[in-house]
Amino acid sequence: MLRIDDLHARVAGDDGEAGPEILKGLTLDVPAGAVHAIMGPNGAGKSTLSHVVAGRDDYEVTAGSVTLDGADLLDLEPDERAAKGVFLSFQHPMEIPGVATMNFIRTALNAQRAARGEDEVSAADFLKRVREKAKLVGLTDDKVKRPFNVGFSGGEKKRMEMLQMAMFEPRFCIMDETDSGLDIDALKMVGEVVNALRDGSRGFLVITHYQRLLDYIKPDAVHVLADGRIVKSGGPELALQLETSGYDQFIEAA
Amino acid sequence: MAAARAQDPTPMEASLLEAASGRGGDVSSAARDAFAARGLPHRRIEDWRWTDLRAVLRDPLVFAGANDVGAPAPSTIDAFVVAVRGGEATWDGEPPAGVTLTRVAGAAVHDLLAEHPTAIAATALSHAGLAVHIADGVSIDRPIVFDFSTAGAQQHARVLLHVGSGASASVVERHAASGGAFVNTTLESTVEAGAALERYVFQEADGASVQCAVAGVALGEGARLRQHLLLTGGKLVRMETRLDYQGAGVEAEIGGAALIAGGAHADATTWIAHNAPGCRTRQTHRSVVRDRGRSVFQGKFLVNRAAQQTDADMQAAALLLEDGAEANHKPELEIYADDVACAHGATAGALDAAALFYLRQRGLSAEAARALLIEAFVAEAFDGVARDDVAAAYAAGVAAWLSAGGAA
Repeated sequence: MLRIDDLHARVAGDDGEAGPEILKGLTLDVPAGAVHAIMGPNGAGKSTLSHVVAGRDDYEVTAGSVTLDGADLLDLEPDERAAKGVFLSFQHPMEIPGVATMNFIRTALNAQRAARGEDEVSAADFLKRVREKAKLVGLTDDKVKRPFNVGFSGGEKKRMEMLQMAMFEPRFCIMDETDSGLDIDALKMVGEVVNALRDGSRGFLVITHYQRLLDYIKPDAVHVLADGRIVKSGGPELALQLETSGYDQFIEAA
Repeated sequence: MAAARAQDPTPMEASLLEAASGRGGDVSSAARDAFAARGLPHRRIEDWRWTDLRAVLRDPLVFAGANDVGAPAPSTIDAFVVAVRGGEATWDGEPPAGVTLTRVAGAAVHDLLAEHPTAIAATALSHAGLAVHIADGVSIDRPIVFDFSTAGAQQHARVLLHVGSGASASVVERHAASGGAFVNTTLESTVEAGAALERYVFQEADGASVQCAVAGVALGEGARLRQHLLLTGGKLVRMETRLDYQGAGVEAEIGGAALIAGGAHADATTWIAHNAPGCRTRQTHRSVVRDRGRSVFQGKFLVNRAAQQTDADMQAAALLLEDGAEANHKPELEIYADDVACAHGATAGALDAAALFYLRQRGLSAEAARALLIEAFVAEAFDGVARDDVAAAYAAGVAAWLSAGGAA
């Protein structure tokens, strides 16, 4: 499904100057239907990885490959990747004043569908679905009628990310610290959204600092990312081990 | 003998003076003398330094006849339409009840515009002004459209608008110019105590055409004004507003947006004099500029000593889409009263790269993402437009600019 091979990426510098290298030969394979978690210390490259896979041009890929279902992603524009089913739940979602939330989500959904040669969702179907999913993620009608994320708390912004993930039903979900700033009830909600989408073919990459999200989303594998590389992989028990003993053991080993 | 000129007139100025000498009446001849002394405004006049009308109008141009009109006005707004053709106002059918239209020659210039260079030219050169009188206490539901559409010629026109006390009315101005036209218009208005005026301006021009319009509006006690402008510029375009709060408790909401493509120029200048206590002004301006475009915004609040408890706020923001785009924004406060709340803010920047990435990650193309952010930026200039059909016309105008390459 998502295959990352020997990926090197650096910050795109101004005026042709190369920025620092963040990803230094990262290799990862998330098979169809699987949930993989990535844990690691601050500055390890977790958010860079999510942005590079989604196509942010602040980073420059200098070597390696990223494919989804065997098709190259790195040559595609961010919106083309989205249409192929790559979804990124942002660590810091944007506030976009003046953009009506419902209109934006519908425009985005239909743009993805059009790129895949699918029909537009009718206004009535859209409304029905968005109401249902808003309820699932715990956002009131009033919130989804506002300009996008304007005046939302950190937790509400994360709920808005989950609302979009539920609406778009992406092929592959990257969740970048979706749990940060969430209380236990909200973590449970995130677990419900993910578990409802787990259908044996959809893949997930869950980036987190803490083990507790993984109580609600059972990962098939856990990887430790440090200094731009995967330094250790294991089963769910690895997350518990990290929680008690920290990252140092693996960083030194790397 | 006219007053001495500071410098030699250009061929255009000489031809305008000659044309003006054919007009009779004291007002016209006084205006002709004033024009002879000043000529067309140019960059050495502080208020016109970014908009040099004289420089772009050097060559004489034929005066418009009744048929020198541009594209017909879009009919999405249900309105009573007055078309100004060849310098004279024409209309079909009966005006709304309570509205009187008359053509008047030689009407005195509104005090607010007595020293204004393009108003002086309009007074010297227009055949007859159109006087629109709205009776006291009358509420006019259907807007009145003034259509100044002109093609390939020059036209000078005056509209005098009187809104009686307690009356309410909406006017829509369509300034469309094409084929190297020059259109110079004035709106001279008095809004009496307790009256409400909504003024909606739509401007469009091709890259060869020049437009200048100035509106002078005096507002009585408790009068309300809502004004919105959408400018897309032209070879040189200036849409100026001068307001005089003469009575206490005037409220004005002013929103303007300029969408400027490569090579185009638009100037939205406003001068708002707070001369009475307890008035409230809210002003928003938005400029969106492409490479080699120029958007000028000069916004001035004058708060005189009598205008205690003034509450006035001006926010101007510019979005520069490419390196060669230019916005000359000049917000200015001049305050002589000591118990007031006045503020202004000005920002300029490019589209937010993080927001663009966010939208594209959700599936929007680069162009669609830019268009969405530009629309959102501009929309604040049209907040509070009371009429759905006018709001839709503004949204359509913005969408048309974007689809013509504004977001490419």
